[in-house]
Amino acid sequence: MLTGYLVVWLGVLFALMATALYTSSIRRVGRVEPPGKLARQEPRPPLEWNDPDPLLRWARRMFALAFLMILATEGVLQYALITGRYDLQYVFNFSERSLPLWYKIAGAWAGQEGSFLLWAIWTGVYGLLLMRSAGGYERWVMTVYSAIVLCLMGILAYQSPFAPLPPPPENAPFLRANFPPRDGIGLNASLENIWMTIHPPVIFSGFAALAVPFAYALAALWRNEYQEWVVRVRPWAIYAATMLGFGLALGGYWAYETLGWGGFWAWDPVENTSYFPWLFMAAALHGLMLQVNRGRMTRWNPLLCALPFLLFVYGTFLTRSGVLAEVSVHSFDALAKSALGILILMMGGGTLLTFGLWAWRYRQAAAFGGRGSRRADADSTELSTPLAGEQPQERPPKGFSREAAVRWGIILLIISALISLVGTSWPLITKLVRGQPVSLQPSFYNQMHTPWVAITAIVLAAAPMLRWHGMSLDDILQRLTKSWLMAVATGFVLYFLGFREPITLFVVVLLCFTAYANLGAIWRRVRASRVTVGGFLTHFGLAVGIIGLILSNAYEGKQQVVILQGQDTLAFGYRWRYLGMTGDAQQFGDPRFDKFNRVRIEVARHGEKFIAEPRFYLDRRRADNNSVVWPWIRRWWDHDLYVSFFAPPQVDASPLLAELREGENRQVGDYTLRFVDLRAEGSMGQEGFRAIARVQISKPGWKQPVEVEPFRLITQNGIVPVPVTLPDGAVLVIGGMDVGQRLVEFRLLMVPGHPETQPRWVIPLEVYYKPFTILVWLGPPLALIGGLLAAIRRARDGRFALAQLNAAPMPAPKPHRVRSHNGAARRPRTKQPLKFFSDPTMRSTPE
Amino acid sequence: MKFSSVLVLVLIVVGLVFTVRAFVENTSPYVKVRDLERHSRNVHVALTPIKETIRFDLKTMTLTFEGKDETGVLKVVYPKGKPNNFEAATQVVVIGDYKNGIFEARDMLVKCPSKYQGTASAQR
Repeated sequence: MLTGYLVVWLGVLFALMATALYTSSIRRVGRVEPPGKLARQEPRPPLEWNDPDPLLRWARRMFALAFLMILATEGVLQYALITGRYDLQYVFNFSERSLPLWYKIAGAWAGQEGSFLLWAIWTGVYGLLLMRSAGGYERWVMTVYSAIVLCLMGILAYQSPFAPLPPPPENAPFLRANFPPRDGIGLNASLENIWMTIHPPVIFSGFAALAVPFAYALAALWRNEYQEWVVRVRPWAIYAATMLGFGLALGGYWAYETLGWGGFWAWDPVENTSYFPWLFMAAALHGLMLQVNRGRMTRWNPLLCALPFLLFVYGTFLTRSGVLAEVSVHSFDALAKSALGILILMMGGGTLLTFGLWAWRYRQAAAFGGRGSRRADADSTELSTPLAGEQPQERPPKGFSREAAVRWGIILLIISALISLVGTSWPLITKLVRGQPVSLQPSFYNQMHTPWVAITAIVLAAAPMLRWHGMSLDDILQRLTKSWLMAVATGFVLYFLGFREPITLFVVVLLCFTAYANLGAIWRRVRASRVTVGGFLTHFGLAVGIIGLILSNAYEGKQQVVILQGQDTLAFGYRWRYLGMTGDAQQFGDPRFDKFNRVRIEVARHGEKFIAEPRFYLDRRRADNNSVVWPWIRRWWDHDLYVSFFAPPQVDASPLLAELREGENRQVGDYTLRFVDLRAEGSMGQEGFRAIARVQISKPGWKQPVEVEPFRLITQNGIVPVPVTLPDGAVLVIGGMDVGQRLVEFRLLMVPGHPETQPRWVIPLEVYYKPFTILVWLGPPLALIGGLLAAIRRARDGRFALAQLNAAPMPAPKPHRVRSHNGAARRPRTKQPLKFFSDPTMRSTPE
Repeated sequence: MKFSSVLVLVLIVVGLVFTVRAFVENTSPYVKVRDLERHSRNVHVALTPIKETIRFDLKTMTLTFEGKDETGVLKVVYPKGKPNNFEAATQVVVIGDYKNGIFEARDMLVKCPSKYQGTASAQR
C-alpha cells in the first residue's frame, strides 16, 4: 500500500527536520547560560507559528507536519481495515469481513505495528501540548522529543503495517488460487470484547507520556538549569504515572474478565515491563515534590525523570525482540532487524546520554540547592500542605518528618522496581552469563512484595499525618492512633470471617491502616473546604485496590468441577448440572465451533438457582484448534463466583470401532459391516467435496442387509463427518480415512444395549470463589481521579509559580554545599523565609 | 543517625532478606532433556509435544505426552487436566521434577501461536 509507506516516510522526514531545526535553534540562544538569567527571559510570548526566529518557526511547522503524518498513517490503516484490504498482512491477520465496525477499528492496535502506531499517536498529541507549554524550554525539550518521534516513525517505516501479504508457498495450490484472499482470519476471538477497545489506548497514553519527563530531564541537564524544569515537568510526571497505573489496572480487569485463569495479575514479563517503569515514575514524581517543597533531590530528579522512559523502551525491547521468547508464555513476533536496531539505538543512546550528562552535571547541579524551585511552588497544598495552624518556616525539624517519609517512600518504590526489573531480566541475564536461562516463578513476585508492601503501607499511613518539619514520636503516635485502632478492628473482623493466614492478615491490616489514615486526611481537608485531596485519594485508592488483590488472591477457593451430561456434580455447596450449548451445531458441525457458543450450566442450592454461561469457542481458522474461553462471573457484594474451563468441553463416548479396507467384511458387536467402496463427489479439496463410503450392514433380526452411505463433507468451516442412522437407532459415522490406502475407520454410536456408545458431554469446569474483588474494582478508579486532580492542580500551580518566578529576582547559585552526616546542617536552608512566602496572594492555605 | 532512619533501614534489611529468600525459592532453571539426570528437581523444560503421544484421561484428568527438544525425548505426566490451548501449542514449558524417567509436571505454560501480548493466557 503505497500511500501508507509514503505517509510514514514523510513522517520520518518531517520528524528528522523538526529535530534538526530545533537543535540548530539552540545555537542561536547560546548553550549554557547562568541560571537565573535564562529564567528571567520568561514569560515567552504565547506560541505563535510566526515566531521571529525562523528556525523555531520552521521547527514547529515540521513537528506539526510530522504529527499530521502520524495521523495520516493511522487514517490510512483505518481505511485499509474498514474497506477490507486483505492483501495487506496486517489487515489479513487482525481483521475480517464479518467483524463489527468497532472491532475493525480496534484492530488498528491488535498487532505489533499497530501498537507502535498507537504509541506514536499519543506521543504526537503530547508533543503538540508540550510545544505550547514548554515556554523557554521549548528548544531543548522539543529537540529530544522530536528525536523520539523520529525513532518511532523509523520503527514504523521498517516494521510497516502496510506490508503486503506474502504469497503462499508453491506447494499450496489451493491457497495460491485464492490469492490475494478476499477475507482475513479475523481478530483473535479473545480480543473481541470491550476491554480491547479501552485498555490499549489508555495504557499507551501512559507509556507515551513517559517521554515528556524524559525530554525535560535531558533538557534540564543540557541547559544546566535545575529549578524551572521541575515546575514544568511536575504535572506531566503525575499525569504519566496516573494513566500508566490506570492502564495497568484495566489490563488486570481484562485478564480477569476474559482470559479465564481467575486472576487479575500474573507477573508475566509483558505485565512486568509496564510495572517497573510505573514504579519509577511514581518515585520520580515524589522526588519532584521534595524538590519543590523542600529543595531536596535536585541532583537526582533529572535521573529519576529520565529512567521510566528508558525502562519502558528496555521493556519494549525485552518483549518485542524475542529475547524472552523461550521464557514467556507469550510468543512474540520479533521486530524486523532495522526496526529492532532503532529500538536498541533509542535504548542505548538514551541511556548513555542520560547517564553521561547526569554524571557530567552532577556537581554543578548541587550548587542549585533547591531554593528557586521551592519558591516556585510556595502555595504548597495537597500532600505538601502542612496541616492547618502549622508554620512551615519556623519550627526546626525534629523526630519524624514528612520529608523523611516521602524520601523513604521513594527509596521503597525504587527497591521494588529494581527487584522487579532484575526478576524480569533474570532469564536474559542468566542466559548471557551461563548460557542457560533461569526463570523466576511468578510466586517470587508475590512473596518478595510482601515485606515491601508492608513497609510502604506504614510510610503511606504516616505521611499525611506528618509535618514537613518533623514531629516527635509521641505526636505522631497520637495522630495515628485512631486509624491504627480502626485497622486492627478491621483485622479482627477479617479474622473472625475466616481470613486467618497470619502474614497476609498482617499486611492487610497495615494496608487498612494506610487507607484509614488517608481517608482521615481527605475528610479533614474536605471539611476545611480545601479541594486539594488528589494525592491522598490516590494513596487511598491504591491501598483499597491492593487489599482487594491480596484478599481475592490469597483466600480464593479453587476447584475443578467435572460435569458429565445427565449427571449432577456437587461443588462449593452448589449442585451443578449441564443443560446444553447454545452454539449452532447445524451450521458449524459442532456447537463449539460457533463463536457465540455458551455452555449453559444450572447451578442450584436450596431455593437459589441460576444459570452459569461461560463461553467456549474453538477457533479453527487459527493454527489447529485454538480454544477461546470467556469466563462467567457472578458478583455478590463480598465475593465473585468465577466459572471457567480448565480443559475444552468434549464428547466422551466409546464407540464400536471397525477399521476396514475397501471390500473387507468385519463383525462388530452384533453387526456385520461390509465396506463396499469409496468414491468422491465434487472437485478435490474444494468446498462441497464429499468422500462417500458405501457400507452394507446386517444384524441378526433384520430381514436383509441395509446399505448406507456415510460421508465426509468439506464445508467452509472444515471437514464435517455426516453420519447415518441405522434402523435400530444406532449411528454410523466415519472416524477417519486414508484415501490412498482405501482405508476407513467406522464408528458405531448409540448402539442399543451398549450404554458406553452413548456420546455425552464432559464439561471440565474450573470454579473460583474470589472474596472482595469489589475492592479491586473500586480502588484504581479512585486513584485515577486522585491522580488527575493532582495533575490539574500542579499544572495550575505551575503556571502561577512560573509567573512569580519571572517577576522575582532569582538568587545566585550557592557554592558547593557541605553535607553533614545527620542532615541537620542542611535544614537551615529551608528556614529562610523567602519573599513570596509572605506574599498573601500566594497562600491559599487558611492560617 | 536519627531513630526514624535506623528504624526504616532495619525494615529495609528485613525486606531484602525476605526478597533473597523468595528469590532462591523461586528460581527454576531451564534444562535440556539431556541434562535432566543431573538437574532433576524444580526445573523448567521447554518441549515440543509429539501429537501422536498425547493421551488424556478424563476420569483422572491426567494428561500424558511425550515432548522433544534438540537433545532428546521426554515423557511427561501432568495431573491438572488438559490446558485449553494444548492442542494448538507449538511449544510447552513444563515445570516440575524428573523422577525415574518420567517428568512430573506441577505447572505447564502453553505457548500459543498468537501475536498480540494480550491474547495468550498463563495456564496454571
